[in-house]
Amino acid sequence: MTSDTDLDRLLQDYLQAGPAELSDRVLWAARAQISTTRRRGRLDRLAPWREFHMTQSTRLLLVGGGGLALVVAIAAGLFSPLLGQRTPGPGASQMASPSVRASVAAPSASASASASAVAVATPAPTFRAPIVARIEATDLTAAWTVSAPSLWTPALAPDGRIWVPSNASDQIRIYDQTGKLVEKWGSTGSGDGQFTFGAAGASRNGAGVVFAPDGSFFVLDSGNFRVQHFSPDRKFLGAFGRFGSDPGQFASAVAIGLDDGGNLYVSDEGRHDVQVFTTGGTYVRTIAEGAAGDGVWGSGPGWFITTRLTDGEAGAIEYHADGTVQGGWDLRPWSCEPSGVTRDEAPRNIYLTCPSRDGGTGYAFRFDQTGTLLRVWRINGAGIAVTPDGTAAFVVSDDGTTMSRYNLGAPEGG
Amino acid sequence: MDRTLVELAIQGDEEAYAGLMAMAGDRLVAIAYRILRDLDVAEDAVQVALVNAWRDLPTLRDPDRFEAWLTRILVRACYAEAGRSRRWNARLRVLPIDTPSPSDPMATVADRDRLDRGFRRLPTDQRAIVVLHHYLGWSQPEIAHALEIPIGTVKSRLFYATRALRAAIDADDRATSAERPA
Repeated sequence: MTSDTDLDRLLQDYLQAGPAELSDRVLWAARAQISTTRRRGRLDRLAPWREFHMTQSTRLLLVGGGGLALVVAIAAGLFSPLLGQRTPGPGASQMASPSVRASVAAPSASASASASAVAVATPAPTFRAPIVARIEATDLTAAWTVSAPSLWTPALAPDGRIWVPSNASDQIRIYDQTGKLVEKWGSTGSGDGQFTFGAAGASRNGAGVVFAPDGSFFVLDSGNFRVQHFSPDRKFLGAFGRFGSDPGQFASAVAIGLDDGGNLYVSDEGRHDVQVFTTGGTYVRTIAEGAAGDGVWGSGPGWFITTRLTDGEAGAIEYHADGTVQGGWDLRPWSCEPSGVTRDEAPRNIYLTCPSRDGGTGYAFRFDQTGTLLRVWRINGAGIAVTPDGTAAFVVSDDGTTMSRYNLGAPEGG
Repeated sequence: MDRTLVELAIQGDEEAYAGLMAMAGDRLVAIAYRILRDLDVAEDAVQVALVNAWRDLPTLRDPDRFEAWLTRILVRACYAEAGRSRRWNARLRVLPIDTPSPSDPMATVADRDRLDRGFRRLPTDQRAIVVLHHYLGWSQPEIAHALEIPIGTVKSRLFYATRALRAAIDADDRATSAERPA
């Protein structure tokens, strides 16, 4: 066994070797880029990001359908100064060259024409590497199961408790690791700290919670078309978003994720895209158009995965926050509908759920961080959270009526 | 780092920032190379970091923290560059992880080479912590502060990295012993 002292000595020797200086070529190239780079303004960080929220009645009117899109456009144009309509930060416009700019997928051209910000046109990804069942799926018995109505994606809080939103009550149900319900938090409404997870009139709404490294957390309050931010002791810190098809707005948001680089992702099945925000609520860009699904999760600094189910293509795609498509998993051979996605902290394996399409078998997959399939379990679940060490998963059933704990065993890469 | 230059750069003085780049460049590429173990990729990371730093400079509130702030931007650029080479792309699922060839004459591999193999297998975020701690000599709280991550994250990454490196060396030892004739 190598001692600590020996290892320290070896490491210090090993790390001594390296280049002595940076080449002038790099300095020159950086300087050339800098001369054309727009700078981020101070106000980006300091500006308050509390936004106007529509009243319930206004929202229901606008949700009514594409025929009212003109109303949306007129309303946005006429009232945006009064409503404090968000415009993208100065960083947003420099992130895409004019040649790749495109409008977001919008209910109508007239609505999208009012958009002043930029969305990156991401080519529809194609799956090149279907996952063939080389690994035998194994059955897994739940360690415990709890029942509650209309559950959505669970999240693991820093204290190890499991937070799972319930659309039926507009509350977050908080369970301990043994499955005991310890608290129901929140109430119905559109005020600060209130939630409307499943709004009438919207085709479909999800809900989700994501915890930041500082212990604060974000709640996808989809029925109010916003994301709320709370301190670790649950004090309301702010909110962003409103109904609409413009950048930074939501139609039928279903999932929220956060990556290690501080990017927030909101997957929206109404808009069919994923929008990227800073943790301060500033809209960054729109990507993954046509690929948004039930799940979205940060898979690394600046990386995220969204599950996809469009036109019969079942799979999951990994993107960089700049819109680059990195790759994905083709799950069509498994005859299931990809839904939830999450990741453990070490060794950073990725987990996907894929409930059955037809009442048959659903699966949960574990991949390593390079995309290699490690394990497959027969679990017919949707929303998923895993413990930081990846040894246990909390899975909400596809019909949202139960949440179960599954002990997965030690991850292969651990 | 020259505080005056930093203040001028914050205000938009490109010449001042060019001076800062020249002063910081060698240190940055040294750090990036040690994290990424590839000079081309390291230079790309430095270039990205320098441009990002220029873009974000107006948000730097304390000019005295420029060096640590720039290091954080560099580390993030290293993550991104490592991701680009690590991840599979839409056409090809590649696993660019260096693994020792089965035919390697393990008995003749020096400690440094064993460590190199183990180090290259580490996730980039663990490599970064190892480099900041063992190469720059930063304490764990200093790393946490500079990278804006919890101290617990620093400790766990360092723990897992150290454990993996030790395991790599010890595994090679065992392999070497097993291959030696009795």
